[in-house]
Amino acid sequence: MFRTYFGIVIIPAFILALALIIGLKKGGKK
Amino acid sequence: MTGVSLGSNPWVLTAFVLYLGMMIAIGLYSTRFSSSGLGEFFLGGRKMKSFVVALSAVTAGRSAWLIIGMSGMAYVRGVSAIWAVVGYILMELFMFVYGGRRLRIFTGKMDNLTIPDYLESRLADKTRLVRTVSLIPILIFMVAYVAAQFTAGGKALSASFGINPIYGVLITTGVVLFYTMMGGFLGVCLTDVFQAIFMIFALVILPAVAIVRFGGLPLVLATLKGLSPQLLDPFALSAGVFLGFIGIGLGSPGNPHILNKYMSIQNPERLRVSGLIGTVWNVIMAWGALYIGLVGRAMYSDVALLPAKDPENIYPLLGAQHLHPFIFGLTISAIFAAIMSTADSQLLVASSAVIRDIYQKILAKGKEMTQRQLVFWSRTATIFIALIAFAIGVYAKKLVFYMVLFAWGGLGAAFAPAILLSLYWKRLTKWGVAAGIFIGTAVEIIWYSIPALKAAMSEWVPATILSGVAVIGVSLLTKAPAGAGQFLEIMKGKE
Repeated sequence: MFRTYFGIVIIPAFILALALIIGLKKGGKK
Repeated sequence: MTGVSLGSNPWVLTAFVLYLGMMIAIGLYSTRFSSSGLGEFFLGGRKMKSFVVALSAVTAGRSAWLIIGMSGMAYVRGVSAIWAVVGYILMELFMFVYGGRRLRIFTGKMDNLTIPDYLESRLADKTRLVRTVSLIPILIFMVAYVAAQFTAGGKALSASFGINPIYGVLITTGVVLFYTMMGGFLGVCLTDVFQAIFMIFALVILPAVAIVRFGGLPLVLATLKGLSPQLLDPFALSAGVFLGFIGIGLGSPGNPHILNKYMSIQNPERLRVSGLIGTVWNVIMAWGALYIGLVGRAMYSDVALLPAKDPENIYPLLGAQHLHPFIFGLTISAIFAAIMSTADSQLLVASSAVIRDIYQKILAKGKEMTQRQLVFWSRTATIFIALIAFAIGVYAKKLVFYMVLFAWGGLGAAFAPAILLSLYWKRLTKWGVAAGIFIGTAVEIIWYSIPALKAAMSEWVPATILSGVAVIGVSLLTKAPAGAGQFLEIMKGKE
């Protein structure tokens, strides 16, 4: 069942977390 | 979608007519702004806000494939269908935040309105080689793409409201043409925002209602396990299929109707925020489609139970059976939202190729024309291209179907390596780009045509890799443009 939740919950949550970290990073490389 | 027609229900019709009316109103609202010049008509005067760019870039890339195709694929494959969305979501996040920012800064500085414009400036090409070579796949694929969207709209209208498919194509063409021609880029982007809201609404509400009605997610998963444990395994796919799915993301940096959205933002630093918003939208829509397929399979275990025995009918079937007719009307509108938000962007890119890239930059170079005259001719070209797309959509369906097979992957293979390298590699040359466009398009078509190769891996993966090899190889053999290092500095935002 872990593999199933990996696909339907963990991967989208991981991508959202990644977008949040990158998206809210101040400044960024100029 | 045969068998799920609710066209006689006034609620469904009301929701759909309200949706179409809103699109037309936005087109009219944007007319004045878009009439002021070519930059406004084709790129919104580079005044778009981060939220608008986010939703417009995301919906331009997501056609009816996401709603109908992805839910159908999840119905058939189960959880392993997720890999078809992971590649493009991550690639688009990268493009928003990194590649798109560089593209926006450089194209703003050089006053580039189109991708051929950009490549010509970036490669300091005074021979028109890159502009000419890049126009061929853009025009062919974009017109075929628009034709396919019009045809899909006609088919969906026919299935939903029981009208003749030709009238369906006519209505789709008429509405998209009207607001794109009148509203230009601003009209396209603002309608995309509303369409994105329709799409996310439908892709959240439908699986949520269906899962609750079935008895909850654990019961859905237990039912699927009883049907076949493979349906619950995200890794129940071959390496070739996995690479092909992930490789769908290679198309994103090569499709000009997505790239020009990054070029339109007012403040390039805000693309970071667009990346966040766009990714949230991409993830929710994609997993919404996945959940529709999963709960649909749990409810209708055998494909023979679906209308026309077609897994792609699971979305309208669930909508018709589990939602209030007005909400169902909105979910049907979401299919059109997906179709129209892609068709409008593609129509505008095709029109910009004719007016900006061919007419203004080649045929009428040096000729004095007012901005208003150019906008007039752009609107005329938009009508002309829409009519061609309508005609081939109606009379040459097989040709359209064949060309569209290559559109996303073909544009990706032709342009993605060249575009990505142009943003980071100063040794890139115009000959390298021309070779990449040629090799990418050729391999895409040849690989697809050989069944043994096609069975081993989707054509866009080898086509993009070989295109990249050609771009790098030929660039290294030819002379880099003078000032390329300075161009890359400009892209970083340094003067």
